[in-house]
Amino acid sequence: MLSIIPSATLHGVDGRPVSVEVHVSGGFPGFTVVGLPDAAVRESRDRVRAALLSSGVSWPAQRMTVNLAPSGVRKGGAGLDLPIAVGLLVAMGELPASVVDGLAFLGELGLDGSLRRVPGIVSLVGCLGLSEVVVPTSCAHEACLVAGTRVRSAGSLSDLLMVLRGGKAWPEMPPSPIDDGRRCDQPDLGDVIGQPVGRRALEISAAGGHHLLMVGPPGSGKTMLANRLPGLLPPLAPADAMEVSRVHSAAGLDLGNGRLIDRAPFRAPHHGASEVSIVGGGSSWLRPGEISLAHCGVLFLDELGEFPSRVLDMLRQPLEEGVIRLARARGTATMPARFLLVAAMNPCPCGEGSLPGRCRCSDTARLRYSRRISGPLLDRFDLAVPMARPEMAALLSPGKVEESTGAVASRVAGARLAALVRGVRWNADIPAQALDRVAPLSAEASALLQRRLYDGSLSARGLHRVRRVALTIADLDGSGPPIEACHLAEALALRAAHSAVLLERR
Amino acid sequence: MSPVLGEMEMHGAALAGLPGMTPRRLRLLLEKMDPSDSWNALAVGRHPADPGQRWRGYVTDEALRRMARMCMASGVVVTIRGCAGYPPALADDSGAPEVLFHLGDSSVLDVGPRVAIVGTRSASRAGIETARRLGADLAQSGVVVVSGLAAGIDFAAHSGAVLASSCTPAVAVLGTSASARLAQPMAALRDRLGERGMVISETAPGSRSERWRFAVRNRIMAALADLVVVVECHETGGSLHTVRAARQRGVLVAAVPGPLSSPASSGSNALLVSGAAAIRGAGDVLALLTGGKALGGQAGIACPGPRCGGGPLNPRSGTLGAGPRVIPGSTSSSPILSRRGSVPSWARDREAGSPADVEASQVLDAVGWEPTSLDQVVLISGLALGQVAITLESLADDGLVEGGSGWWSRC
Repeated sequence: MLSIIPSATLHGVDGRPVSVEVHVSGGFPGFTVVGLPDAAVRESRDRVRAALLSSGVSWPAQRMTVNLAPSGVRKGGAGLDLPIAVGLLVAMGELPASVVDGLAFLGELGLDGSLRRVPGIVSLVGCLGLSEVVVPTSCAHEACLVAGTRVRSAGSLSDLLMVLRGGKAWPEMPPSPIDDGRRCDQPDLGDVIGQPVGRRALEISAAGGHHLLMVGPPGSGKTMLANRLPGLLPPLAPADAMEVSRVHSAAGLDLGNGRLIDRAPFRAPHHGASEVSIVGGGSSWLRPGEISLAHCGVLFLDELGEFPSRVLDMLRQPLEEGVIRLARARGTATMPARFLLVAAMNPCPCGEGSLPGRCRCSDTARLRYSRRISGPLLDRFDLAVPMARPEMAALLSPGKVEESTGAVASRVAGARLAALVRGVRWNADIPAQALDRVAPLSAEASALLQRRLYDGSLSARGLHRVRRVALTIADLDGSGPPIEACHLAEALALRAAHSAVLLERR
Repeated sequence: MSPVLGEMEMHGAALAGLPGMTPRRLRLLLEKMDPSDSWNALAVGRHPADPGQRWRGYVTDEALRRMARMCMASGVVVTIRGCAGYPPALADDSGAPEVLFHLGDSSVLDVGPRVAIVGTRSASRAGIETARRLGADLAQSGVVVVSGLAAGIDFAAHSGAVLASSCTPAVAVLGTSASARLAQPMAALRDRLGERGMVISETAPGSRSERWRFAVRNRIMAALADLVVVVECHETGGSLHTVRAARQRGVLVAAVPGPLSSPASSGSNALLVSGAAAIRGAGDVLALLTGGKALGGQAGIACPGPRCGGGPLNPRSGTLGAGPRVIPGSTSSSPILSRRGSVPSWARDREAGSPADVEASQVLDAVGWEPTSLDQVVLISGLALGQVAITLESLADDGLVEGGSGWWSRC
């Protein structure tokens, strides 16, 4: 007897519908799975057999064949356990075909018949169209984000059997988790003492989407500042929130409370990260990497100089395009990767080289260190801020209240609005040819710019970046275009570390 | 112009160029034999100082010819200790190199008293400026400046001495060979010293650059100098090799005091504590050389300045904040702010009492003589970053402050 159960597998961050066809007939007893299953799917034979036996179903001495259609595409993950089990039950005659009509199944089986969560449930349920979907209880809320009332949940195979045999109604959805105010636990900018330049750079970065490089000695607060950047970014728009949730779900991350991720994500991979972990890929299914997980949020690379240069150079194309296209022999996947890159590095191996007379590194060591970051990558940082350790007196003196995240975030929101009015997501996206129109320069500002171009401290490429940053600064000040000399001077001061790193290289 | 190499010199140079050769090994090889005999003895494996015959395979006619070619091509003069042409200033020293390579005229060593100016590669701005002024003032006073042509203090002292209008030549003692490839701007300065001074090395042309050679050559500097001045050095800096070698030879050591907060001055300050003479300027150096009292004011160096100890070398400091003054170059560089005359814009504005004046003086007060981070300038002045940035920009045009990546200091 034959049964066909709709299900889905994950490909990149997208779900792809799969039909699980089960055929049970007489012949030499056996159980085969065909249709390009990967190791996890092939192992599901043993899980399904044990789960069925644990749920009180006898294992027939018959020939059982499972085909995963379309059979030319490789399938991965354990999410096909449940549809295979249900398909077998129907094909063996344990369940009438009519009760599973219009139902799709997703879930991994334990040997005791319990249902376990699978990664990417948001995308998987999303691709299954209009049919009702049965998912493990543990990820029912995630599924509800996309499918709402079409979701049915079950805790174990025996529960499911009871419902399908008509003994019981579908169990109620577990109560929706309440908003526990996740915003509160974000670190506040008010904790950062001093660092006026770093704070300002952070604000501009958040407002204009400008990639930020912080160069300073250890203990100058680079990491502390970067941790506070997500709090400055406005909440995600619904479409963005859905996409971010899809990516996080596909990576197998807990969405936390089963709600859409509505805050900008913050990812800070360690510098030992491999190429695949950063850009995505992998052997089982093309898993999203850190750059996709940081989509619509912040990718923070601490100790930028310690990352392998191959890994860093892989960031260049996604930084331009906002997506990563992974091409492998067995298929390609396109994943979103539009992130704000924030990086921190020391000025030299000993870390003390920002002020003259402090560093004890040899010239070759400094040169080697500065060469770890390629010119093209360095070029993409609109803001390259030299950081210094705060004075001890400032750290110890009580009473001075620094501006909190809320105050800065409201200015950032205003500037983001100004960018939206211009028709771009943020000022960093303004095309070069539109700059003259949207960001005209005052006479003094253009004289300053010309002088910097003549004395060689600013390149033609740097010119556009400085103008975009100056526009963001004007937006934050509430004055808007035209750009005044002080806006431009500030933008130039906030790239000072840029020329220092390049200078080291000569 | 290729110097003619005598047979003895050719053999000496070839011995110094053998792989694994060190000053001590070379001394052993030449202790009882002259270079030609020593070379021939090595070639047949009968040299008493080379029982293991480690060099026998390298002692070939081809090596000899190659060394002669290299010396001729680069114009390097070879002299042997105890033979004609070897600098008498060095000949009696216990650690004198057996074979010396040099560019330029060796008579420059006797033009006047020799003062070694040494210090760290990673120097502060003030240290660089001090070394440059010291080099220039001493060269003008007829002192032969000896230094190591490294980055930082050495380079500053040499460039000060070379650029001084006087004709007193300067001497560089290199850790690499005298004709080795150097990075710019050292190479240009080396060429200049080769023409108008002297470049000394005990390393044969074509030898590999090795770390230990830089420490070892410091003894030559100490041997040559009548006085060693440490401008700035770290607590464990290489300049302390020179100091040790100088003290072994009874050469007087002096140091320039620096701020307590600057790691680049920690070594030189420690020297002062341990009894080195303090140097406030070229006058103090000249006084030490003549054994007399400080020749205050002689080299334009006597006014006390705001920098701890280093003030006298900063004669411009006394005039700062004392009203309008003409700053060279300020009329040409700034199309924005200082087109209107040679009076600095902040000083002119101060008279007019405009808001820009208040900001300029606030920012100027916040910038210290030591490099100050931009953060500090913003915090102390209490102005917004944009205001500070544009004000610093105009102050830099007026030549009142200078800055690099994220730090500023007055000048």
